[in-house]
Amino acid sequence: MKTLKLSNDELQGWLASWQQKHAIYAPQLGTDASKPQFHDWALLDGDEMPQLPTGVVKNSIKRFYLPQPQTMGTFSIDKRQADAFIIKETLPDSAKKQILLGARPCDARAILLKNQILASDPYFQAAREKNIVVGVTCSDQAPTCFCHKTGASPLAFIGMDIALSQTDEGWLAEIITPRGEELAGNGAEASEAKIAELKEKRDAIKQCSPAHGFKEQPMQEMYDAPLWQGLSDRCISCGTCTFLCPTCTCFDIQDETSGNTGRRIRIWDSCMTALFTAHTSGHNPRGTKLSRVRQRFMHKLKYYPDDYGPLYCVGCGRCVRDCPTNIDIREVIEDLQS
Amino acid sequence: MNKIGEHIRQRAAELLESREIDAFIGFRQGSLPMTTQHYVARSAAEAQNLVWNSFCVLNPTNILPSLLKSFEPPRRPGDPLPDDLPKVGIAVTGCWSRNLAIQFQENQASRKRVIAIGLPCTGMSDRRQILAQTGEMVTEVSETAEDLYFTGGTVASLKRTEILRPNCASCVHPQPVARIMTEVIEGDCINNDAAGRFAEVEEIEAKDSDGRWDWFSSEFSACIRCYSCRNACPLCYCPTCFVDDAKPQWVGKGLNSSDTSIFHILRAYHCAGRCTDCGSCEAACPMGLRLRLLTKKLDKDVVDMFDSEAGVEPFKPLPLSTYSQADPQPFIVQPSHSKGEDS
Repeated sequence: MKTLKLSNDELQGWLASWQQKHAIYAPQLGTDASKPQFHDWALLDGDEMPQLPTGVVKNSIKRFYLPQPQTMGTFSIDKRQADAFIIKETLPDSAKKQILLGARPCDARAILLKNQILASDPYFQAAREKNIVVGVTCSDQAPTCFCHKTGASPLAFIGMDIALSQTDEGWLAEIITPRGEELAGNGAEASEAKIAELKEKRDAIKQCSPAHGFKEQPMQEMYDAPLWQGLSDRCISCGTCTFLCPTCTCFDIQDETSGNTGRRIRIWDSCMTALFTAHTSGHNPRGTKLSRVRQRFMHKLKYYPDDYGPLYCVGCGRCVRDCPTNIDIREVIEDLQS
Repeated sequence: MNKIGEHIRQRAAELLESREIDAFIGFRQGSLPMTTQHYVARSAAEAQNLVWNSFCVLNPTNILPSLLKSFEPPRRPGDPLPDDLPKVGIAVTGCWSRNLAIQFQENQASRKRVIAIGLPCTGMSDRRQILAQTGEMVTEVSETAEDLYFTGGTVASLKRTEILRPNCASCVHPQPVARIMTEVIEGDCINNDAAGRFAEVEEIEAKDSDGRWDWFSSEFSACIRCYSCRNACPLCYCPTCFVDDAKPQWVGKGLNSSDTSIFHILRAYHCAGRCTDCGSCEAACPMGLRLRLLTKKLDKDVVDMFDSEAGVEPFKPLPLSTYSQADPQPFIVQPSHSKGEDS
């Protein structure tokens, strides 16, 4: 791995050259002042490094990997056509790369965790081909951030192609993958001292064990824990937590038609809604709000760790920040541990 | 504020202690500054967790019907309810008390089983609006009658009047509906000028039809169809919402703008003559959509056409569920455009 030292101007030079070849998406503040203001992902117009807020922006980079909606294929509903009702698959054009600039370590890691589940999903894999992650590590954490409590670190670079870390004089750019290598422009190698300094900061962060001991906890005990009742009393089943969550992956498939053509789309679904598990017969195996609230936490804290190791939560804190009824996964983790 | 909180805790504890009620609906402190959680206290000890501050933004009457139902014994359809079912206490401000009136009228809650404590209201604050000014790093907030003080933010204090939620800033019924209150806590209420109460709506009404369409399309384009606006609303209690129906599927599930528009238009229309402008929908919306502008427009129309406001007169039938000859009916009595053909 190569570490380069960049001034602000040099980084801007990189951006300008990337702009020539690729679409760059970055967190930006909404431009319509009449609307509530928050940072969210948008196509970068200029070649200036965008101002990133402390912590995470409204949406994660999930939307670039699981677009909302994803067109899986198109078909004709004109019965006179020979190919009527035959679906023609459409995969994202992975040759045309795009850059996700300013992704945080939690978001980048989430894509790797999702990959465990979606390893053989052609749409997700094509999106991984297409998206190049130029991440920015976090020098500060927001009050809702807790990545260090999910076995990760605010200064981590896993899942990124290039990791940028802000320093007093500018930036340190760690070139992590061959794709990052190809993308990186010119720059002076960072001094040994600078690299050591970054490593020291990284080592100073106290990471906890990735699965929090939930792997060892008996499943039935967690399933029957008394806390689910109190949480479901308060939950309004909106699914905001699952929509904003960078790891939540579940989807629904729908056919939409317009005129003589149709498309099969894949859209985000949420285990917080009753419809998620409703059967055609009318039976619903997860018919109560309690069972749905429990499902989300059990999947993140127990089922996924049992199957793959780490928690299925990267500690970005989006669900904590935007839950209308203030259901806080950090409190759930603490409650389950005690 | 602190005095009201103290009063709520004391009364809730007394009512629970004497077994007059089995549960009390209120708020407790959230895990983040400027957040609160709906809270059901079931004992005098639990009542000590109740709080009252500027961030009690989700309408507590939303959880009342399901809580009342949870005390009902299982029974066959048509079987009468026992007479001596447990009662539930709830503390309500002006808008929430009007929701209570509507729940009584629409048989979502039984008046006999609700002990309502009326609260004076000086308006609630918008956490997101504050965070936009102070930055995300606020770790602690305290408040007085006039000001909010922040620790860790880029701003040390803000005047409460500057960061009132828009529905509170245009509220003209801060007093609880006295006729359905069991008791009322006295105190100062917000005092807004009634003349400007529909200013937000009038601003949009003043646009031409293209302008209004542009506004509507852009205002709701960020919707992620999570339906938290619907779920946070005490008016929405259909067992299956039209957007969740699968057979037939009335509305597409993607983010197609026509599907999103239909949801928002229908949601607003279902609230016509019933919405109390409590702001719960906006408080719940993760995308910060100004959902109230649609329901407020319908409030205005109902005031203009029927001279009625939701829940203000608790025993008068709701304007859209009754008929009077005085109702505006130009669509019936207007002469047909194609004269002669219809007769």
